[in-house]
Amino acid sequence: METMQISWTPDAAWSGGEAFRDADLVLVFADAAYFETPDCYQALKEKFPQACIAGCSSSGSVLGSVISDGDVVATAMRFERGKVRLAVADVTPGANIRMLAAGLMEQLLSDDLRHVLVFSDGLMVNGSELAAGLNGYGISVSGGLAGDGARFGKTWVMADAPARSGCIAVIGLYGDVVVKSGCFAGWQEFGAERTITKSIGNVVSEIDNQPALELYKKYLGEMASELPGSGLRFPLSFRKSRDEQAIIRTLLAVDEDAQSLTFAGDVPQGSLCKLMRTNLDSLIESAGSAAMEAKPQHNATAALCLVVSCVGRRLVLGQRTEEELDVVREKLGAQTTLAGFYSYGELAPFSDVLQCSLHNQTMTVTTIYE
Amino acid sequence: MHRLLIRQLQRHLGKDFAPDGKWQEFLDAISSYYRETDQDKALLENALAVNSDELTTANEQLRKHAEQEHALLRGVMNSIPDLIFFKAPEGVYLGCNRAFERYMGMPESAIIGKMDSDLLDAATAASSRNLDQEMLAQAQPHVSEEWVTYPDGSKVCLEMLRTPYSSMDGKLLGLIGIGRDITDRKLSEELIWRQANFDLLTSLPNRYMFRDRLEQEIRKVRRAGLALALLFIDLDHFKEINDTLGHHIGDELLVEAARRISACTRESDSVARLGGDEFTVILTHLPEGEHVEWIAQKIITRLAEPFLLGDEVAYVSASIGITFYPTDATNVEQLLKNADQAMYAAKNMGRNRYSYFTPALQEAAKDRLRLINDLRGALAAKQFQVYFQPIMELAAGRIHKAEALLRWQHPQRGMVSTAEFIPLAEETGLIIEIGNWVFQEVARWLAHWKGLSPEGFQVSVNMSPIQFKVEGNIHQQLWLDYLDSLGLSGNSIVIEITEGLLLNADPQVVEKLLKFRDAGIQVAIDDFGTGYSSLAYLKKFDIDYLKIDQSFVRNLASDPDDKVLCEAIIVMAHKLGLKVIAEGVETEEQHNLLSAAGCDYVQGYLFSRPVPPQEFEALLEHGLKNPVR
Repeated sequence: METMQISWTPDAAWSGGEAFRDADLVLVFADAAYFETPDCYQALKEKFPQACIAGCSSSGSVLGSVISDGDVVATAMRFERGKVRLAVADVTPGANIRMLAAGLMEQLLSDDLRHVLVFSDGLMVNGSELAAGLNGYGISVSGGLAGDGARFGKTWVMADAPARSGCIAVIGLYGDVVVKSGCFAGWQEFGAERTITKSIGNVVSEIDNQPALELYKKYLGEMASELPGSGLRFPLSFRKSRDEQAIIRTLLAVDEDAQSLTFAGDVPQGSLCKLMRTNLDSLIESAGSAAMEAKPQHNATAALCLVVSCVGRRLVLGQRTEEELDVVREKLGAQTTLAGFYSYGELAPFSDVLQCSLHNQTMTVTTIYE
Repeated sequence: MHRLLIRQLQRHLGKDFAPDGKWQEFLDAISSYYRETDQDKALLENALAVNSDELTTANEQLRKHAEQEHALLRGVMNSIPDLIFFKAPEGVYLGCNRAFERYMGMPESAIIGKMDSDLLDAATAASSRNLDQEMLAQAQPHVSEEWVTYPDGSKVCLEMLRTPYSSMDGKLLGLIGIGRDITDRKLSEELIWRQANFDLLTSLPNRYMFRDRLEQEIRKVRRAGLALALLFIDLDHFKEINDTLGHHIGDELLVEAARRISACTRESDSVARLGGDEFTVILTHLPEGEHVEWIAQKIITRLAEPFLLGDEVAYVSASIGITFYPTDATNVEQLLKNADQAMYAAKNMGRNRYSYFTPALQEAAKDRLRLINDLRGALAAKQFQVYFQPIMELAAGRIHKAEALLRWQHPQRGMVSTAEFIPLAEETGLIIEIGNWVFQEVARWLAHWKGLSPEGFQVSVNMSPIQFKVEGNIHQQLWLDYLDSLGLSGNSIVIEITEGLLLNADPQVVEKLLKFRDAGIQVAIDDFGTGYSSLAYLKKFDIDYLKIDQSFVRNLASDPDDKVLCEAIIVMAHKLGLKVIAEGVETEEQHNLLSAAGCDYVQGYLFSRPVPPQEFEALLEHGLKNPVR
C-alpha cells in the first residue's frame, strides 16, 4: 500500500499528486469554505479519476503531525491487493438513522468485507443511533462525525460528489487489508458518582434531582458565563450500571430556561455519571495508548493511520493539541502516514471490537495496511 | 501580555526590549499559554473547592443518616425481648441489647470490651466460647439450647442462634448472638411428654411407656442371655369400690395400690399402670426361681391389706398373672397376652392369688378365639334357637308366663352353654344382633300363640347391659314397631335385667327403661339377692318383678337363713308393690315353702325344663303333664 498527502490552502491551490492518478481511495478533510464548493470535488476528481473520494468538514484536519486550519487535506491511497467501495445516504428530517445505517451496511456486505469507515454529518445525525445501525453485521466500524470548527453551524460530507450536508458516507475496505483501531480518552473522573435523574435522548435536565445546568455552573465558577464552550472542560462520563465501561459525553449546548444540558450523544436516564476534569498530560498520553492499540504487527509496515479526535480535546489542549499527534507518530513510526480530522463525535469500538459506539472527547486511531 | 511574561522579558532582556513581527507572535503564544494555564488552575481549584463542599455536605448527610439508622437499630434491638449481643471474632463483646444487660445483670458499658471469661463462671464461659468458635469455623448460623441462670436466680432455657456477620466486602467482623427464652415451650414439651408417657393419677409409666420399657428390657436381657418376668396385676372387685364409693375414692385407692406395688419391687424393676385397675411389673435380674413368686405374693399380701381412704375403709385383693421371657414368649405382644391369660386364670381360680402362664392357658385362649369366630357365623347359620321355660302362677297352679332362653347348637361342639358364649357375645358386640333376633323370635311365637295362651300371658326376655348402652334407641324402636306390626301389646313382654345395670345407671339406661315402661313392657330384676340388692333402685326405676336367685331357692328346705331371706324378699317386694318369681324350683318341698311364703310365681325343673317352642306350644295347649297343686 502506498500513500501520499496533498493540501489546498487559500494561498496555494493543489499541487502534486500526479504519481497517484491511479489512487484507489482519497480521504479528504477540510476546514475551509472551498471544500463546500463543487470546484473542490471537481479538482480532486481530475487528479484522481479512478479513486473513491470521500471525507468531511472538520474542526481541524490532520496533515502528518500538524493540524491544518482553513485548509483542505487529501490523502491518496493505492492498494496492492485491497479494494474499496462506497455507499451513501442522505438524511431527511425525522429519518430513522438506525435503519438508514443498517441499509448502508447491507449495501457493503460481502464475504471479503474487512472494515467499514464512516463519515457522517455531525449535526443532523444522532451518532448513537448511527452506531447502533452499523453494529450487528460482525464487521468492525470506525470513523466520525463531521466538524465545523468550533462553530457548530453546518457540517459537510463528500462522497464521490461535491460535499453536501445531511449525508452519511460509508467506505467498505475489502480483500487483503488489515484494519486495527484504538480509542482512548484520558480524561479523569472526579467527585461523587451521581445519577441522571431526568433525561430525554441527549438532553439532561436533572442530575441527582438538581437542575443539571446549576451543577455545571457551580463547577465552572467564573467560566460559567462562557457556556457552552467552557463546558468542554467538564465532560460527563456515564455508564448504565457499575459493571459497564463508562462512555464520555461532551457538553454541546445549554438551555437556561429549562436548566438543561445538551450532550453530543445520548445520556440515558437512570445512568450513573461523574464529572470529568482535564489533565492535559493524561489526554496526550491517551492518544499514545490509542495508537499502541492500533499499531500494525510489524514495525516496518507502511500504513495509513486515520486519526479522528474530538474537537473538545482540541479546545482544551489548545496550543498543545498537536502533541497528541506527535505521540501517535512516535508510537507508529515514520513509515505511517497520519490523516484525519477533529470531529463532533468519534465512532469506534471501545472494548468489544465489533460493537462500535459513539464517543466524545476521545482520540480514535484506525490503522489500515496490507 | 501575561504579567509574568512581561516581568521575565524585562528581567532577562532589559526594560527596553521591544519585540516585533514574528517575535511578538511567539511571545503572544507563550503569553496565551500562561493565561490558559492560570485559567485551568483556577478552574481546577474552584472545582476542587466545590467538590470538597459537596463531599462535606454528603458526609454530613451520611453521618445523620447513619445516626438515625443507628438509633433505629438500637430502638429495635432494645424493644426485642430476645437477648442480643455481638462479639469480635476473638470473643470480645462489642455490644448488646437491654435484654442481654438484664441477663448479665450489668450495663452494656460494663460488658463491652470484656470476654465471657471475665463475666461468667468458667464452665459457662468455656461452653460459650466453644460454641462461638465452632460457629465461626463453619461460618454457618448455629442454633443451640442452653439452660442459664439469671442474676435473680431464675432458670431460663435459651435457644441461642449464633451467626457470623461480615462487612460488605465479605470480611468477617464478628458474630451476633440472639437468645430466645423458650422455657415455657420446653416445660410444656416436657409436660406433653410426661402426659404421653405417664399415668397422671399414679405417676407410673403408662401403657406406651410400659411397652417401650418392656422392649428395652427384652433387648437388654437378650444380649445378656438372661430372663425377665412380666407380672400382670388386676385388682379384684375394684369396679364395685368405684360403683359404691365413687370414682374419687376409687382413684385414691389406685394411687395407694400403685404405691404398695412399687414398694414391693426393687429400683431396677419397672412398674406401670396400663389403665383402669391393671398394673404391670417387669422383673429383671432374677436371682433364682422363687424370687418372682416371692414378689408376687408380697404384692398380693400388701394389696389385701385394708385401704384407708378418707373416712372409708375398703378392701380389694389382687389377681396376678406371671409369664417369663424367653421361655413363654419372646415378644412384647405375646408376653402381654400370656400375662393377661394367666391373670384371668388366677381370677377364675378364686382371685387373690397368682398364676403362671401355661400352654393350657394358651390353648384355652385360642379356643376362645375360635368360639368367637364361630359365634359370628352362628346367626346366619341358624344355629340359635329360643327355648321357653314356663313360669307358673303359684296361686292358680297354671302357666302364666314363660322365660325365653337362648340355645346355641354348635355343629361340632354341640350345645354351648350361655355362660360360655354370652360373655363373648357381649365382648364382641354380637349381643346386639343376637338380642334383636331373640326378641323377634319371642314376638313371633307370642303372636303365633295368641289363641292358645292364657289371659295376660307374658314372655320375659333377658337383656344384656350392653344392649342398654347402645347409643340412641333405634333397636328399641324396631322392637316396639315389630310388636305393633304383629298386633301385640307391650304387656306381653317382660324385660329381665340384672341389678348391676341399675347401679350408677347412666341417662341412656334410664331413658330406655322409661321407654319400655311407656310401651307397657314390664321389668324384672334377675338373680335378685346375689349382688348389692339395693332397695332404693327398685322404687326409683319402677320395677315390676323380682326373681329370687336359684341359689337361695336351692337351700330353702335345708338352710334356715336362705328361707328367712326368701321370705324377707317376698315380704319386702310385696310392700313395695312388686311381684316375686322364684327360680330354680326343683322339689315339691321348695314349692310348698314358697307357696307358704306368699311367692307369686315359680319356675323350675319341677314344672318343666326350658323347651323348644313347639313343645312349649303343646304345654300351652294341653297343660303340664304333672300339674302340681
